[in-house]
Amino acid sequence: MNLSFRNRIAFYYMMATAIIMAVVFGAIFFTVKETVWQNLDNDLSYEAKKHTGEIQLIGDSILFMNKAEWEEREHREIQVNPVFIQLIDKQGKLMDKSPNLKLDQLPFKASEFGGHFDTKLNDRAIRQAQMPIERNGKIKGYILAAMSSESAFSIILKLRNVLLISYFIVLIGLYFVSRFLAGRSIIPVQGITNTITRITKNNLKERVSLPQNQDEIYDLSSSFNALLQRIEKAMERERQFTSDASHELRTPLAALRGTLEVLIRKPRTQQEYEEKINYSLKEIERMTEILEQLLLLARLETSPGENGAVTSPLSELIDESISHFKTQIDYKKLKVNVEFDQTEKALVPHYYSNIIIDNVISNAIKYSNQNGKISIVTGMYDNQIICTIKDEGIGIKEADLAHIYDSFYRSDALSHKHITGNGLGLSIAKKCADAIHAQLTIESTYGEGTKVTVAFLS
Amino acid sequence: MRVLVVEDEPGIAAFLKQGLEEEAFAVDVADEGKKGLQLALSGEYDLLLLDWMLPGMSGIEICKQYRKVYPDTPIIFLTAKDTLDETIFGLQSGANDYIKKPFHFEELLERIKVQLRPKSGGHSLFTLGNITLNTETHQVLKGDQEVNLTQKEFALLEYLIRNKGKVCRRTRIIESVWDIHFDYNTSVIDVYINALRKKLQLSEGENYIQTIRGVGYIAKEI
Repeated sequence: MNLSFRNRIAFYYMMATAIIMAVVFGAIFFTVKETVWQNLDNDLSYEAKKHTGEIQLIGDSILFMNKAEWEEREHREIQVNPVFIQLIDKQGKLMDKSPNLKLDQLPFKASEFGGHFDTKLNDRAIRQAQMPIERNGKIKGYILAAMSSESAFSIILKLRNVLLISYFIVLIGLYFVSRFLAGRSIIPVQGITNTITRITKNNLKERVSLPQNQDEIYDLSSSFNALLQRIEKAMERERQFTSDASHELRTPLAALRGTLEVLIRKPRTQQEYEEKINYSLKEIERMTEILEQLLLLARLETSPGENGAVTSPLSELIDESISHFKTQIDYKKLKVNVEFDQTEKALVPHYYSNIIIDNVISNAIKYSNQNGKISIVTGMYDNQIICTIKDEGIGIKEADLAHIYDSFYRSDALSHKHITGNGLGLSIAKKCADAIHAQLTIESTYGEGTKVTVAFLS
Repeated sequence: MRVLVVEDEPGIAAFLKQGLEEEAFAVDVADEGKKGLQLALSGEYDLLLLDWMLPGMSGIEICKQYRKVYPDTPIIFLTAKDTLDETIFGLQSGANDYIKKPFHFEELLERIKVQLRPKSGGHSLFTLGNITLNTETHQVLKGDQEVNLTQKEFALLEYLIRNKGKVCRRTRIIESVWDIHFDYNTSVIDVYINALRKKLQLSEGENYIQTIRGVGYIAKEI
């Protein structure tokens, strides 16, 4: 059923109440009815018993003993609720009756042996009891006692009507009251809806106002605000990244354009042309590298886990990476120690591990001092393939360690201007590690060196 | 005209220095925020070119601090920050102009000239006797004849003419025409003045540039 919240609440509430009220009203009605009939029957039984002691059996006929006295009393008093008494023999033939019956006669039902039942006298409802008259264990006849049941009927009828009418009035009233209350109780929810509709990416700072009571609505509002907070932070990070990326690309572009524009303003010497062209080519290379790394980051962001199926031995990746950086290693006269401890054949996902190992080894080389030492150790530990790459280079300040995975972040970049970089390497390595559920740990002492540990799942 | 460039990217700083020096500006470069502010406050600059994102101290901060001391010196932001909000914020921090990277060098040059254009009258023509100096076109005329001057000679003449009638001390001339790496003890300034007099072909009666012995030089009408 497609009902609004408040109508649904009101409807359910009404249905529940309808069932409970039906049970309660039904119980009241039947209890009262039963009680009234019970009283009537008790009275009749009592009357019948009383008159049983006042009859005499003469041969086959059954007669009242003091009929004359009775008739006299009948003339003297007016009974409000008269009791009719009648005597019949076994075959149902009238023997005698109380004077108030006048010409009428109570009906006899052979099937109702000694019981009570409803019947009619002169078209008026009566309740009748019929009891056998026994002498020496033999049924001689019956005594019938009857009383008008019209007042009892009218009480029961009135009760039924009152209950039915009040049942519907209460239900309808209840429906509207609960609809109103449900409507009032969802006003704060509508407030939240309005705020949410209003919030777009341009006004993410807006928040849902919190109600004063710390109730469920309060919980809803505050968790919604927490969600907004997270979205805002994510958007802020996104914005920061875009701004950083654009800055990183604009700067070499500005240098390139400016250099060439200044160069072309005047005729220059051959040497100056060559110098500027070489510089420009280097800037272009730098931009290409940034672009490639940005693309890689974007790819890792959108489809992590892809290319994860192909595996290679870790030792092979490390050897490849070292030979890849051979020129830089030779240039700095670095001593590289490699130690594979029972992991010659340990397999790791090729694509991601290659990027991680390349980045970490490249960093170790870049930030090593002249004639420095780099040691690479691999080993198995707790079902993990551990690879430790340790250098004795410039190290990272403790305060900067928290930011090293941030894109474009370079720790203390000014103090080592000669070391080029764009601050994307570790951020890429971290994303790759996440993609293959490897753990990247970096420990460093400023001025003494850095130790990077990569724990691959085996 | 002396310009301070505060820019941490060596490629940009290098072409700015070269290009502006070829346009007869004296250019100093600072590659770090705090150093930039220190230089700006110590030296007498006619114009500041500031990057926004700098190590040590942001360009905005330099701009604000510098404005407290020098309310009139033009400041131009050269930055990769390109949103409307950032441009407005940069200009509100006290900058006279805001140029987004990457920019055209010619445009930067024209914007610098606009900032340095004399406020009264708004012209770029200066005269000294029958000598006319045009800062817009970089032309110097003696009568109708064009005089070819080197950048330093032009800058020297421009400084003297702008301060026509006032005695220009040697140190002030050096500060304004040469950059801070210049060796103060050389007599190179005398060499340039002589070259200037020779190129302008100043005769006996046209002694527009006079030497004040032990102090400096003065340019005046006769």
